[in-house]
Amino acid sequence: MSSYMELFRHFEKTRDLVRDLLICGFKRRGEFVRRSARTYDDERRRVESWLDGYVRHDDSVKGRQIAISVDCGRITEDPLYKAYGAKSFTDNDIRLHFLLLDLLADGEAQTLRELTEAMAVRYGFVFDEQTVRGKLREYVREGLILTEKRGRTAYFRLTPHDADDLLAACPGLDEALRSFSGSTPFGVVGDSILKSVGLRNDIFLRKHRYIVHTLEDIILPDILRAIEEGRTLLLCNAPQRVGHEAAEREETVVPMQILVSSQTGRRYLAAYVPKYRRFNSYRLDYLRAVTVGGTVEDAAALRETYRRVIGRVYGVSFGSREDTGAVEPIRITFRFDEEAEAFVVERLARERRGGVLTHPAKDTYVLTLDVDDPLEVLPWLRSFTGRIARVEGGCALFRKRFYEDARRMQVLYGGDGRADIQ
Amino acid sequence: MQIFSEIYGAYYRIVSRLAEMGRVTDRDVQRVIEAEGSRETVLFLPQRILPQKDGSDWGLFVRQADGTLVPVMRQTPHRLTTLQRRWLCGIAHDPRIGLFLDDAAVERLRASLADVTPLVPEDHIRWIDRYNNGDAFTDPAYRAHFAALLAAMRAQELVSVTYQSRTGAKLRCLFLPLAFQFSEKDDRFRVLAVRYRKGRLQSCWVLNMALIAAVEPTGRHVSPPPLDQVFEERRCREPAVVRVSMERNGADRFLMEFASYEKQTDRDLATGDCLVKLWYDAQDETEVLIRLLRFGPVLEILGPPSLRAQAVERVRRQTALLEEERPNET
Repeated sequence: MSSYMELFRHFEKTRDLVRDLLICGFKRRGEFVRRSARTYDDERRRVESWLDGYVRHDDSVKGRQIAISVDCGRITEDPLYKAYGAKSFTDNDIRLHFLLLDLLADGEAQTLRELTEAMAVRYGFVFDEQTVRGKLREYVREGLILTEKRGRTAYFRLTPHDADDLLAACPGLDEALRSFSGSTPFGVVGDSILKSVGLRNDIFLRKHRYIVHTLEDIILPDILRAIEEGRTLLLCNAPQRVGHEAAEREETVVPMQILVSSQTGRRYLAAYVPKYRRFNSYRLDYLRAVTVGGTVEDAAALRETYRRVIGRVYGVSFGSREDTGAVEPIRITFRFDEEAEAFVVERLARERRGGVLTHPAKDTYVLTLDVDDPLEVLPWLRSFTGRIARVEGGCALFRKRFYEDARRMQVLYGGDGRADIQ
Repeated sequence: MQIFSEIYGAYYRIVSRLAEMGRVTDRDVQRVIEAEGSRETVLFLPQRILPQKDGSDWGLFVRQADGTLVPVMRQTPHRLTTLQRRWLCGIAHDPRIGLFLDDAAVERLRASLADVTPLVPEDHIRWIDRYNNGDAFTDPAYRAHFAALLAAMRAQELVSVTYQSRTGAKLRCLFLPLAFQFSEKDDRFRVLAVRYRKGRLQSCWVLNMALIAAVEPTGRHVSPPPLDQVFEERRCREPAVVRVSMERNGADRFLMEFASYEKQTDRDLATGDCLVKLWYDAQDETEVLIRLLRFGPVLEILGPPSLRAQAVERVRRQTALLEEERPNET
């Protein structure tokens, strides 16, 4: 039986568990069916260690329920960054890291043989050249070490880019690091710089922060590389609907852009799907893995088409005529006391997303939106409940759902006897 | 470029920190691990740092005759990887960088990163629902106010703030600024500040940076209350209680959208409905209400009565408006 280790090698399993605990918050041990009980216990123990203070246990007759509950608006540091700081490594990895950095700290270039010998002579650590070469190559890839050929011999030296020097040369960069280390995506990278020089954020908070994005950042470098280089991506997509076990499906796509919603907490990959010859979007939190593939011949043309198409996308849906039928511009009439409720005009102006706002009469505003999938507008529209006088255009399903939902809301809240319910 | 790599890990950082301290005691090792590691790091790391008789430690620290430890390496430079430099390049070109660095420092930063590209090129990402009236981060007055407030936070100094309220009235009050709060949705900064009145700190305000007209230092210093205490005072008295159904994937959408809130969730195994208690900043109640109403009939606000009453009133007005209009098409 293997013993528990605090560090781990594969991020994917832990990412799944943290997402379940953070998002669902009601699962019990037996409901985590994708992993053995022991694996679950190990992963849960790690999560509890990183998220000390944010894990909530509730015991009931149904069993012990574990959840992560974080008020993200009041934390100065994303607790999930700790997951990125827990990658396992070998004894040689850590020895080579510190010894090579020490040997190369003076900025002088040295050969593989010189470095290997120096480690034996100066520190008493004997490594074979193959091991040292592997570590040097890895650090060259990460940009920590630079290499150059002199004749047939490779020389290695430390990158001159030093965090302390940069902070000294750019006053105020420390505060910028504190602030931006909470940003998305990749705040965890900023946090790694901040912590390496012994700083911590203490005064920069984030409202509307979704720490679950931190987990998704693990797959972003490959996605961004594929976008940059015009390559395909093989997606392992596993929609994890509440109450349903995820079924994995593989799809090859040409990635276009990352779409981020600051209000729903969801981030998507917008991509062209050659198989269906159309654009589609994929939730990042559903993507278990991505693999970068070959280059796409017509990448530039696809990107041009995408730029044209995305202009008509309200959120992330590229629309499907099978679902919506014919679509025409949406026309929404709002009615409210514009003097007493001037903030509503402000909201309409700042949230109209390319729509045209007119003011045909006192207390009446009309917003016209021309979008591919009218159904996407509904959640936003409902946030104006109490001020919507008329909804026209879009598609039949859009109008039907709006008016039906309005009736159902009346049934839910129309009775008087519900206010006593706690 | 690996984002999940041990070179950014807590263990490497702890070893580096101890090595920088030079000569350390076992107690120092314990203290640094507790400060930099996770709750359980103290169970796993000390025996790899402290020399062991069986040689199972990493051999990076040597025990001295006086019982202290010294590192075998003389230097542990903080060199930046390509991943870190590309991230820095991204922030160096963000319009908010000028809130922290003066123009000359921004130029120096950009010049030092001229050989790398931003980690996330601007056109690779699209914010779909960010408001279009974000703060003017590059405006000289805005930058000056930000710098003055930041300096006051660091110095724990009271400042006189001239502030334009929503009604257009100008207020001038003494504040002790505590923290900045940035919203991705609004694309704006707010300042959490405690008002100073009648010789003492009083209630906490949230000031929109864009509405600040002037910030003047006073030279008077006051100890700030802990941020946690401020948040506790602002927390709603009773949590919102909502029931979310599985219809239209409502539970999943809701739990994702409200993942950033402190909450307690339970699930009705018979119906699949989620019953959620949600705690929020009392000042954000209207925003919370609006966000709950976005879910339409797949979510019902059950309590507290004051919050439900607001939903009832909005739905009543909505019903009246639609009846008034009597659309032909329903």
